[in-house]
Amino acid sequence: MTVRAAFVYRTDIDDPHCWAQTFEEGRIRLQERLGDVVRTTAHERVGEDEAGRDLLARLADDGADIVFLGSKGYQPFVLEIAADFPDTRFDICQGMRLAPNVSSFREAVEEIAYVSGILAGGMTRSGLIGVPVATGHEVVYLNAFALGIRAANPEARIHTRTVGSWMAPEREAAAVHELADLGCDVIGGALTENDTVVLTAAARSCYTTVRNSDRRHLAPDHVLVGNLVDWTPHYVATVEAVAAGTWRPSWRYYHAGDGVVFNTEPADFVPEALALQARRAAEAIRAGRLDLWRGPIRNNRGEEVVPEGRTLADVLTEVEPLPGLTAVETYLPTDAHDWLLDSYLGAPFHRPPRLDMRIKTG
Amino acid sequence: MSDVLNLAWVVSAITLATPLILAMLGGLISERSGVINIGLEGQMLVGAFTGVLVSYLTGSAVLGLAAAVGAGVLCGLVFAALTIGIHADQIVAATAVNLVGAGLTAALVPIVWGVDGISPEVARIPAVSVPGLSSLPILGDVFTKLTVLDYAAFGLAVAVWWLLFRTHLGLQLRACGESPEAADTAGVPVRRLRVVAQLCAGGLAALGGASLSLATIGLFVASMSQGRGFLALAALLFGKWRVWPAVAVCLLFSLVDALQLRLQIIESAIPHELLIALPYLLAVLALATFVGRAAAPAAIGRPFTRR
Repeated sequence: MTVRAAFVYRTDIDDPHCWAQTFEEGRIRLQERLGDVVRTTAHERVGEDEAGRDLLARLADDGADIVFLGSKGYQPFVLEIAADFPDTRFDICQGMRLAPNVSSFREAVEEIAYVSGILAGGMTRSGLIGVPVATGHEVVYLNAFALGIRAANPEARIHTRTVGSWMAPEREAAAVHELADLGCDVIGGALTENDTVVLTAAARSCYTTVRNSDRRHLAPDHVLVGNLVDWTPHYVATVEAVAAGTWRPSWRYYHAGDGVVFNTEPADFVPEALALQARRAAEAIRAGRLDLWRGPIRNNRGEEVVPEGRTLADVLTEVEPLPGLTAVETYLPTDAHDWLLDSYLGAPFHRPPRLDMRIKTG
Repeated sequence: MSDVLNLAWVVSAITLATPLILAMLGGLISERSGVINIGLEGQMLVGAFTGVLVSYLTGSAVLGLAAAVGAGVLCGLVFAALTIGIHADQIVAATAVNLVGAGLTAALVPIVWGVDGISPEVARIPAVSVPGLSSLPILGDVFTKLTVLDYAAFGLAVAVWWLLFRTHLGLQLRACGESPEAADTAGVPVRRLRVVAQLCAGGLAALGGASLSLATIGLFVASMSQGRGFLALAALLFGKWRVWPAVAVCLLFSLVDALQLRLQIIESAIPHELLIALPYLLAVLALATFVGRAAAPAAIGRPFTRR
């Protein structure tokens, strides 16, 4: 049997965020890897609207065995379509609900953000790191990055500026300029996926990071490290399960050890001791030997989140884990994770609620 | 609060206001001459793209700026040919300018640079330190961070104000917008002046777009104007088609815009999405309440033919 797999992206395949590219590269490798077992199609610029709904229904109607969805924004109507087409499976990146034919997969962004944080913390001279925040919903990235910074430099502090969206070039530039003016000499965070942030940081002689696609060439003297995602292992495993008839909906949470998330090598100009620290951390994470969320962790409201000697897993006793996930994996992407590490300067974190975007537990 | 309301806020606001002011001035000239111009957004994108393209090809951001203005004037010429030449509906023609401006620039990125959506980094307009002013206490810092375009926006506002309201040519141009028939009777070349106004509008809007791409960022991103052409239009209406009130509105929008760069870090019960929408909500509110109907040029939107 040939598995018919459709890939749906929210944006252009080559959109500047490179987020769709990570899926597309995975699709191409999947096709190479499995050959005749799978027949893939890619659909870019699919809106999270009626037109998108129509496309998903058409894909299902045409007999797609599995549809990989590159955005959780499709979630609201996927469940309805899935109910109408029980023979088509839907696999949503960072999805928030399961159904008999709806599954969810997610990358452990915290593990690569942490390694970037180590390099950021180790490279700052001023002890101040600047983070342009997109919407405030990337709190997992923010905290893991800060924990990495703390691991390399406990004294370092983090300034933020909120851009308010994932694509607003002139505001990103304004944010980076303000952070540099505050004395930050390293710029990081989830928005370093955008060229504007990277290039503005370099123009202000700040070190920076890159995300989602390896664009270290943008500023070779300033980019410390990249965060990359490769979905191939997930696609291969999923399509093989579909072909074998063993596919079941599940919450998948891919770690560095699964080969889905990884960091590039630290830049040449990073001092050897620091590069070694970053590599060792990455290696320990891959091997499952390093728990990032180890206490003491205090938030910037002055509250203790994890006491000394304990880990986040120890204190999340109230959280009911989703099937197949740990309590920590369940908790991190939810709105319950509403604090920022005490390294973040400024008044406490406030995040607007996401309507209909909460992970349904239980 | 000093972390929120400080000089960096003002600098960011001025930087963010520059493209708005430039595009608004273009719209002002156009509408004062009697032609509705909702095509500012498309013209901004053409300017942003051309500026980066020429800066990329020549290595000179100044040449990029010049080319951006040239491309904007060309856009204005096309728009003028459609609306004044063959009396095409001004709203429809301007919508076409917007669609073509956004579509064509986005489509050209992969053709020119081989990647979708974003250009490589190019030579940009640097910030200048103003001798004297930059050594002022407290305020001095502001005068080291702005580019020549930020100053030019204010300079051009003065120029446009002077031209429109203090010269005979300006009077004639405004007459074309209020009562083209009367102006025609008085010997004013109505259609020719309206064409000139369109060329100026295109050039200014494109300069605004180029200030987005060449001054602050140094690269072109598809659809990078993000509705700023329409915001400029709102500022124009809010300012009742007068230069200084409209400039003030542009600054107000940008102050709010820059304010919310730093609002997330203070405890706030207001959803952040609402803050982002604030300049636009202000615009809607302004349009729905303060703007008197009589403020618009009387003959705006009406093609002129001599009977």
